[in-house]
Amino acid sequence: MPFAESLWGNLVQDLPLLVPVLFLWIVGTLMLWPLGSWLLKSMPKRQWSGITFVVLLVTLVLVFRTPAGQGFSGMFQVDGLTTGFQILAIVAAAITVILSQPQLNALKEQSVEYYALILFSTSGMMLLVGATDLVSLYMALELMALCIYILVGYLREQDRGIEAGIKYFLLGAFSSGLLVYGMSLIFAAAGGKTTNLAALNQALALAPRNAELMIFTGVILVLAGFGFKVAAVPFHMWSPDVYDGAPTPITAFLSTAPKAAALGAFVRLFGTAFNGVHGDWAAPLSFMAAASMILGNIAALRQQSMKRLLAYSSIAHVGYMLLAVLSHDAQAGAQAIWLYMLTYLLMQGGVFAVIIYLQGKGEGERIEDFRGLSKRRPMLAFAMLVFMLSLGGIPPMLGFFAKFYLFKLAIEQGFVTLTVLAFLTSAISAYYYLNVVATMYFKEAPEGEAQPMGSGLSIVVFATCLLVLVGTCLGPWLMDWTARIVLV
Amino acid sequence: MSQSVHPFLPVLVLFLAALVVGAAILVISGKILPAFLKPNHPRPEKLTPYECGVPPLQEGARHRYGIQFYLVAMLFILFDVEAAFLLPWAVQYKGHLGTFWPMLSFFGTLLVGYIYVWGRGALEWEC
Repeated sequence: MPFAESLWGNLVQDLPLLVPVLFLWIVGTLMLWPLGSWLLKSMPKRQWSGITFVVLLVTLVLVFRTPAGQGFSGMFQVDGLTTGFQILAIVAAAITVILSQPQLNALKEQSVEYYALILFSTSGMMLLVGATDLVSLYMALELMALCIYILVGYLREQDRGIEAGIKYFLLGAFSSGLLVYGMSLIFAAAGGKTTNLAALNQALALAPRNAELMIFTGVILVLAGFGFKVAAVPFHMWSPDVYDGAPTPITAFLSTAPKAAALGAFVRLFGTAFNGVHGDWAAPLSFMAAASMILGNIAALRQQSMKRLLAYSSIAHVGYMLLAVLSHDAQAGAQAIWLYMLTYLLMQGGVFAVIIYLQGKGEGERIEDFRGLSKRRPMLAFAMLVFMLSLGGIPPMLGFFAKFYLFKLAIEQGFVTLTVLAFLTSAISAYYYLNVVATMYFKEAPEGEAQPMGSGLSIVVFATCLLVLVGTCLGPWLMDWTARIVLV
Repeated sequence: MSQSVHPFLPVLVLFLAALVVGAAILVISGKILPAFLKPNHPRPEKLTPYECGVPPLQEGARHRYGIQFYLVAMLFILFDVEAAFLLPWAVQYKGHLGTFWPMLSFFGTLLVGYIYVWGRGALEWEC
């Protein structure tokens, strides 16, 4: 049976492409058993975040050492886009792991499973951004999402946590159904012979005229499925409630890592497989981008809860990034999204570190809690000021350069109306970001003791703040430099 | 002649016909005919859900079950799928190592999961 022999041979030959993912799988499994269950039972549970952090650093090194190439019968590909977005996923997971340590200690909810699930979810993202086949794409997406469903409902003693978990699971499972139905329609319309993305593009070009409606429906369903994953309007309904109910470190994770991975896969899928049917998805995607920018920014104006505010602002940021997905040039789009996501990830990590510090025991995540922070903790307030200005895209900050790069691409691709809309809504967003700054600097502090700050938290706050400031100084060079990293 | 007609128009017509016919059958056989033909003598015993002659413990099926049932059901599905995957492989297996090692690694993964589940006490029936 030569097929079976060649199967095994190819598998061994292609394994180097998957080394970082395999490493995460093996270490995650070992953490559950036997290390977590039996061997290290006497070890304090709070050490797990440190171990997980080291594991993620090793994975990062392995990602850099992975050779470029394609394998597994065209199911998985390592190229600039894969490596770039894998780095984003790992960095987001590492930030989450450091943030989790003080929060879970305060809630007395430390467990090995939490960290193992973060590792498994990260491995799913790493597969997702390299998937070059509809089947492997869907499988990786599910691996990523299933772990996050559990993590969102992790605080199972709290009603809000359960509500968030159930909501996210039901809507996520439903959107996966839409996605896989759309994929099946496209598979059928392309002749039912291939699920490989590059081959699909050619097959769709040769599809008969009466299959047009089928292709259109399929593309729209896939678009809806991805819209749910990245929380773009009109598929954003779950996002504020889930952000609100999930444990805060998981909210930080949710707003960065899966979005980065899903956007990476989004660019690859729509840039390669659906490139030929650009006309089918350009208008719906433009609508999604415009609606996300408008609704996200306007709904954020009236939020009292910091986590809900960040949820709506995250919807708006996804709206900006969809401009780059829309571009005819997949490579330039991927670069713009990568740079934007990197800066967004740093800023979100910092903001959530500040929120977790103020939360203490899981209470007090309202904007009012930031009153007088400049008196109580001047350095923290300054870091928050940097993050807020950067999130708002105020010119000298790093966030401005990312936005500039994105909008420049959109103008070059001819989406002038959408870019003007992005400028206007981004001006609206300055109001609510600066509102937080005003609350910190110009309102009287409430009575109360300042809590000591966890070492991990202060490291995240100061490291991200420093990176944002360094990025601010090096902005123009940074853009040239990153333009050469993510090459499809 | 057929140029002006959309290729999926017959499907739409068939779909609408199926809707109308189906609804008609349901209404006629479920509401109109029984009003004339079916004897109607309701008693409280007749209207209760059937539970093997035992008085029903609780109305309807929407009451709460212990969480252990879900856990066991989930674990059953997990290892059931494994068996369903194993059967076609076993039927086709001709002694080639190319399919043996991948299957063994699949088993090894599930075995670790099984030991983990056992070790965490998920198989104990705690109330």
